[in-house]
Amino acid sequence: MKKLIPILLLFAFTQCHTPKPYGKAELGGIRINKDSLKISDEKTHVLIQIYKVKLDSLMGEVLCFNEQDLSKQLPEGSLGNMLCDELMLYVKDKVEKKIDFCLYNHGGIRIGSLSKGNITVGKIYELAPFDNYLEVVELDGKSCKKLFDLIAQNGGAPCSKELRMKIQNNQASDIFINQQAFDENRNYLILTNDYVAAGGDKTEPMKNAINRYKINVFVRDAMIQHLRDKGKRKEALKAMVDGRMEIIK
Amino acid sequence: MSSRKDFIKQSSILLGGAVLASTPFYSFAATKSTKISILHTNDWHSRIEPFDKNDRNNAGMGGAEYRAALIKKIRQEEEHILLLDAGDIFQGTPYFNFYGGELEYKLMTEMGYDCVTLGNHDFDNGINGLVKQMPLAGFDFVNCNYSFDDTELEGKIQPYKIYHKGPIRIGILGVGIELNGLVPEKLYGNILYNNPIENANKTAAYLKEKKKCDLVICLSHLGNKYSGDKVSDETLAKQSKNIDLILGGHTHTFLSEPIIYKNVDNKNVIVNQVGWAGLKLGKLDFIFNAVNNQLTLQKHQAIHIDLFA
Repeated sequence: MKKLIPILLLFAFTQCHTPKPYGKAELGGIRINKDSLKISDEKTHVLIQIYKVKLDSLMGEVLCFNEQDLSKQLPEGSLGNMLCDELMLYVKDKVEKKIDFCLYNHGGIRIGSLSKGNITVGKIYELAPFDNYLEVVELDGKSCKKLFDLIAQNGGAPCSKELRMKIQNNQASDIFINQQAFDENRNYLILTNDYVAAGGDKTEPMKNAINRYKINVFVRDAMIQHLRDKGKRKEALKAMVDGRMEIIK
Repeated sequence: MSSRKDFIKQSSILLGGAVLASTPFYSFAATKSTKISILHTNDWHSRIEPFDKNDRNNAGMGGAEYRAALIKKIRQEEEHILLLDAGDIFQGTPYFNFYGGELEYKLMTEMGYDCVTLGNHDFDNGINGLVKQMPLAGFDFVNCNYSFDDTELEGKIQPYKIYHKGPIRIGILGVGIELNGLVPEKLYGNILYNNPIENANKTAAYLKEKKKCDLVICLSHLGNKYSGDKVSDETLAKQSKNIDLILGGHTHTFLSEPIIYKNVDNKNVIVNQVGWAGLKLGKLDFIFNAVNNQLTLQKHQAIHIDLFA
């Protein structure tokens, strides 16, 4: 049994008790690499190439330059901020009404990070692979408050810069929308995806929507179009964490 | 490769019995024992290619080509292998958006997968999108807690499958997560979700008692465990009977070693999960002793596919 002790200790240090869906893979077990495999699978390689060549021609297009590493985090992450802010810019001249803010689901962002450098079409497919449409939800103030409290309980959610709130004792507080104190007695127009609009991913108060306006474009395609336009204007993508959603201890 | 980390744990776990101390494999050579290796993945999410070199966390890791090579290598070394997946094969890279899962199924068929269960994302192109790709899948689909009546999947997914490897009879069943709230209704259509624990126990009892399976494996897409009372591999394991091994998915949990629970009969249930994205291949080696019909977990590994290591 003596021989086992160091092994168990190593496990103790590397064991991950809380699931980290997009974290770094742990070092448990053995590693295998190209050289140590000493075997290749030619048939699989050829099969993949057939699909890859065609896909690369579609996915390799560079949309624009990303100036900094972005990451997916709660209560607030630079990647989520970027997505929500850019979606707001995308819809700005496409819908008649003034949208108050954008809200997205943490689980709907499917990559953990977006590295500094050129952003390709393929990367946006990985960021938002689902066929989710953009949608605007008109929600009454009281339901908004319930939604913010639910977000607070879940440790935050990606949102655009128009929304600022603090999370204290699992409740939303100091809520500001477009620099105005949040008003429970008015309705708000929220830009989101159709999954969240339907109350998915712990956003049940969305089911009280007064109106839902479907924008006939997938989130992914909206982002591709928007970032492609940005690139054409030689603009780089900028985003950062700015305290829009903050946990107060 | 002096830096190669080899964390193979040698303690063995007797199914339906006590946890044994370290016993090297060669001590079984004298008895009539057979080794079977259970290889498994979960949530590989269309990760056909390794992560690109700029990826912050997993650069150069994974990739179906290298998984295929690894499996091929293991097949040369081991006589009896079962290759399984716990769901969410689909969705996550443009390969799925453009080809609808066609390449994923072709590759898994080429690798020789035996059996899989369905994850929520396997419905991302609707029932129709799944059914369309199934003819390309040279492996079985199992699930015992969804009702597929009056859907296109009726008759295409079995509650369980039985495999024979040497003298060992292995029963495999599958359980899936509640689709309502997770998958848009229009995608899962008339599929009904039923209690996974009740159905798993019912199916496992049939496999163990009526079909005399030596090893009963549950492929699960319930998730490893949750803080609330949501049903998970943990709750299933503790409330189960006749299940020896639960291979899970959904929560993308990287377990550095399998978790052992006691079931309602105070017998061992092994739960394992190997993260996501095809970064790791789980390998559980069981020794079957034909003299006393006992199966023992002899060795477990999570083989990390890392091209840059």
